[in-house]
Amino acid sequence: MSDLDQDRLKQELQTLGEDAPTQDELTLATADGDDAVDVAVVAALVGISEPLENAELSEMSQARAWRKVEGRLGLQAPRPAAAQSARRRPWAMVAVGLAAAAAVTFIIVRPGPQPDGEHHEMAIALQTQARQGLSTLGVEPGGESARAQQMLADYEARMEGAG
Amino acid sequence: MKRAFTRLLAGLVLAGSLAGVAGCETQRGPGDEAVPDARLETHAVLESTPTAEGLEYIRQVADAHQRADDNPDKAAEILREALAITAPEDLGEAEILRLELAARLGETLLPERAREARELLTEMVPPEKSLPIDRASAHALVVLGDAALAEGDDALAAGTFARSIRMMSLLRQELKQ
Repeated sequence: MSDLDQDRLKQELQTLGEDAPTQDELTLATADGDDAVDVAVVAALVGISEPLENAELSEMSQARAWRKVEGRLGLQAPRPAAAQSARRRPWAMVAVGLAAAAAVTFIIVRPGPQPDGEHHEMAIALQTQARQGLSTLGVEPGGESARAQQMLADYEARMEGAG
Repeated sequence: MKRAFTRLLAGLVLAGSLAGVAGCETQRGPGDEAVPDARLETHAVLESTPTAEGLEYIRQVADAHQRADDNPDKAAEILREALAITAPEDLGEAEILRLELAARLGETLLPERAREARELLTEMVPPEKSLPIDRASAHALVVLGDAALAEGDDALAAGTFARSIRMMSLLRQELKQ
């Protein structure tokens, strides 16, 4: 993130009455390349570890959780400048996002048939992430040939070493 | 602030999506609609003791890739023939080589022959089959996801992409060790 973007970020936060971003938050906000994949993969793994449904979650509890999610999304509205929020802790936004993801998962994800549109959007989002992940791993078009040649060379070397 | 929250929401959608598909067995609802299957069984690939038969097999596969590079119009045919070669039983590397062949063949067939690609890769990487922790597995899964998406099977695509992402997470852990 350039100095100009950082200054702009700080200005926006100040306008909203928020504290200045910590270094951790700046790192999260500017994650790209491998770091972005790391963040997304960690978020995905935590999401996977959550149960799909909770039989003990009543309709009232679900509605309460949904209101919490709506409330968190509503945090984008400006707060009074005089209000002093509590000091931000590192990873607070990640924790909030993951908790919201778990709540949304309970409410939105239900077993059984879903409209085709939801699966399609999910598949498209996952495809983008998967393709980015392959690129990060160094899997590129035409790379199979080079890899096969390398495996052949390695195998021959091991044979000579064993012989 | 806005950018950070946007990224957070994107991660939220992804986490929710993956949580939605992870651990689901393929099910059919009242409307006969499939649910994404994100099961993933894995195993490590151990180096095998080199043999002349193993060397010959790897050489044949490497040659096939080279010929496919030199003859793009015949690549699909060349790669299919290579997949049909019987690998020595004790050659651990064969599993990876076959997955690489299948992934490349699948990409060659897409998008016009998406059904063939899907059938080929469905047989190679079904959810109940244990896959080697290798980028070849991740590649094959992604290509299967692409084929499924091209065919309009969004449930298969979503489940397969989720499996590929999990495989890549395992690989990144291996690389960091």
